[in-house]
Amino acid sequence: MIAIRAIGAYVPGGRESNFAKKQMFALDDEFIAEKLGVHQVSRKSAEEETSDLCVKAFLDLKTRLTRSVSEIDCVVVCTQNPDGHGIPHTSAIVQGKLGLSDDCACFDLSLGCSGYVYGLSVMKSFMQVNDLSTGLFFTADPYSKILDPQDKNTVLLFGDAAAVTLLEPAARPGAWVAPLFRFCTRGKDGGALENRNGALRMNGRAVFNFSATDVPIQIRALLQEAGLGVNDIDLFLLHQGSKFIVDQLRKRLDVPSDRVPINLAGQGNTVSSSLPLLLRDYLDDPQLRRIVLSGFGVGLSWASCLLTRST
Amino acid sequence: MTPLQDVIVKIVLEENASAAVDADADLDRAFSDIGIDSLGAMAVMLKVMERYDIKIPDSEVDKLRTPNLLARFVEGELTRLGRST
Repeated sequence: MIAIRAIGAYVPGGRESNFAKKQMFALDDEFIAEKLGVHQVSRKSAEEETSDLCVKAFLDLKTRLTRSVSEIDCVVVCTQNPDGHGIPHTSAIVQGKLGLSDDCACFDLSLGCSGYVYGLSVMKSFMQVNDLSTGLFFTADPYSKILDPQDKNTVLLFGDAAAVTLLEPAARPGAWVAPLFRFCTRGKDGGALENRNGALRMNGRAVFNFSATDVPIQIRALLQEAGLGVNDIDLFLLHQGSKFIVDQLRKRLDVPSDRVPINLAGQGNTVSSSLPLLLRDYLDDPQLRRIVLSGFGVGLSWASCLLTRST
Repeated sequence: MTPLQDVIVKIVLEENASAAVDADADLDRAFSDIGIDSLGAMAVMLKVMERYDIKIPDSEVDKLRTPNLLARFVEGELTRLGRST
C-alpha cells in the first residue's frame, strides 16, 4: 500500500493584514478574528512562479527527512494557476528545476480545494499500477495571481502557499495510508467560484450553502462505508475555507473543537494546500490512529478520505 | 409570536446565543442590529431553508433584513407551495 511518508511546505513571506483593511471593507476585529479566522493572507513575490513555490516546499521536505529519498519517479502538481499560460505543465517545470531523472512521470491535476484528496487517490493508484516507488505530490495554487484587491469576498480569505507530500510503499507498520475515498461534483453550480475574465469571483452564500449541506453528508457516508462512527475518528482535517465554515461543519458533524483544528490565522485559505499544511503537524503523532480529510470548493467539487495506520 | 416566528427566533439563537431577540419588537430590527452579522444571517437562512424545505433565491436575500421579513417570506413560500407551517 502506498503511504504518506512526509509533507513539506512553503508559505511565502509576504503578508497582507486583514485588520489593516477593516475600514476599507467596513469590518470589525471580531468578524476578522472569529468569523474569517484569517488575520493575514500570505502573498508570493511577483518574481515567484508556481513552480518556485513547489521547489521551496521540496526544500522544506528534505529538511524533515531522516533518511534519503530514492530516485523520484513521479511528480504531480495540483494547480489551477500554473506557471505562465499553462504550457508546458508545471509538473514538468518542477521536475526540471529539481534536476530529476528523465525516468519520471509528470502531470498536472486541475482541481481547487478538493485537489489534495483527489491527488492522494491518483498518486496511490498511479504508483501502485505502475509499480513506482517514490512520488511527489505538490499542491500550489497561488490565487494572488487572480485576486481582485477590491473584492472583499476573496481578497481577505485566500493566501499563497505550496505543499509537497512524499509517497512511498509503506515500509513498516504504522505508516499513514488512505484506504477509502469519496468524490462528488456538481458542475451545474460551478459558477459559484470561478475565474471570470482573469479575476476570481465567489458567490459566498452559494459556496457556504453547498459546503455546510453536502460535506457532512459525504463524510458520514465515508464513515458508514468504513463501519466507523464520528467518535472513532481522532481528527477531522477540513479544508480551511474560513473559520466560519469549519465551525459550521464541526457543529453539523457534532464533533468537539479539539478534533477539528483550524490554522487559518497566519496565511489564510491556501486552496489545495490547506489540508497538507494542517496534516503535516499531525503525521508524527503516535496517539493518532484515524484521520478524516475533506476538501471542498471549486467545481463544485468535494472529496473526503480516511487515513489510517498501515498494519 | 406565531409558531413560524418562534422557529425563526430559535434558529437565530442557535446561530448566536447572545442575539438580542427578547421582545416582539426585536423581530423588526435588522439582523445586524440584533447581533447577527452577514455570515450569521447566511447560516440562519440555510437552516430556515432546511427546516421548511424551501429555497431562498440570491435575489431575495438582501431584502430579508429582519426576522419578521424572513418569516413573511417563508409564510409566502409555504402558501405558494400549498404547505402549512
